Amino acid sequence: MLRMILSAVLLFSGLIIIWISVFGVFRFHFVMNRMQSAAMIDTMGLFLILTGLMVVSGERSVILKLILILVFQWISSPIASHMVGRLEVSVDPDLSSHVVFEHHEEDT
Amino acid sequence: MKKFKEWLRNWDEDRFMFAEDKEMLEEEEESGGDSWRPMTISGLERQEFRLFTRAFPVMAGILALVMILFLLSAVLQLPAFGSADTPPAKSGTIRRYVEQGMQETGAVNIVAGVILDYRAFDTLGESHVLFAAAAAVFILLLFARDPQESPESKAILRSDPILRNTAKVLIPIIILFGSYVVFNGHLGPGGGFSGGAIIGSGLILYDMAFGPDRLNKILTLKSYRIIVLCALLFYSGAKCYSFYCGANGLETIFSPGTPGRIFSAGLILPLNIAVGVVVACTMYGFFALFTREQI
Repeated sequence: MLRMILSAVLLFSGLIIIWISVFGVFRFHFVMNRMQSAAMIDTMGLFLILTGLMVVSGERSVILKLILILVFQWISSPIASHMVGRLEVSVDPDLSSHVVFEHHEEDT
Repeated sequence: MKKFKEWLRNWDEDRFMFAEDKEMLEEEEESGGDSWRPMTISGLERQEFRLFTRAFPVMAGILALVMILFLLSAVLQLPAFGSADTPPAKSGTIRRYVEQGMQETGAVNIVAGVILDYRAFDTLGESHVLFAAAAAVFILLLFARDPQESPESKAILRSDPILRNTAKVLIPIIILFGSYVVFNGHLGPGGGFSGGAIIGSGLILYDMAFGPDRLNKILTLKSYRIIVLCALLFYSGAKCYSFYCGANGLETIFSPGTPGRIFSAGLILPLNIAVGVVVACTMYGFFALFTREQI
């Protein structure tokens, strides 16, 4: 029973995180803000939902597979967000109207 | 209806516009105005357009409702999930697949036994459809345009150290997993199509991270052609042999073997490998063609 309640809390907080991210993707106008908002889904939202599923299943093989999914998603999806940001930096001509540069990069 | 015919007769084939618009455009060109401006529509057309925009959602909603009702009534008439009176359960083929599939084909995964042994002719056709589609895309993209230099933004993306170092970690795992799915097709879920798609995505990631130069040493257009042709010829030849033997009641040299071993299930493992090679090469080839118009 306690396990069910814990997993329900985790799943619902994951859903709330995902809902906030989707809201942010449609609400923001600049690419970087939207990218950051979208990246929240597959880091925090995925973590909370997979943890909830681990708690509710309780089997060792299922938990190991879910941990594997989490590790690969956490390796790969921030790279995707990073590439989106990188592309925006290299393509957008009036980037400085949106962003304040702390130091100027020579190589980009 | 008569009005519509008149309206249609005004259509100018050469300029893709109506006669009134053409006259107005010509007037403007003579007076030296802008060459482009939004298309104007006359009063009658505007009325029709307004009617259309109002009627369209209503009609679309009615159509969707009718379709939903039809589909739901069809769903209600389906037999319950897993019940004994479903059409495939009555026909007897499913009982044969489930009860004797493992002894006859040697595959633990019955789906692999069905698609690559009982119904291999179908899968052979699918592979050739894939090959024909790939050949058509190659004809359209490879010889229509000259290869271009890659734009600067791609070079910037390629030199990204974060992407490179992550790709170094991920690519071996992706290709290992794809090979596992291909080689495990007759023992568990998997097979040539899915495993080949995983290997192809690993190759695409390699291409995006490190550029095409290193991969082009192994995988050129010529080697692509040789690989795909060999795989398809092997598939066709092996299946021709087994169809010939099966139709004439002869013994084949491929035995089902012990179910559960990696070298078992007769032709299924080599056929999975052939299909996987074709799918992986075709996916990578499509990616290379669409990004830089050469392989």
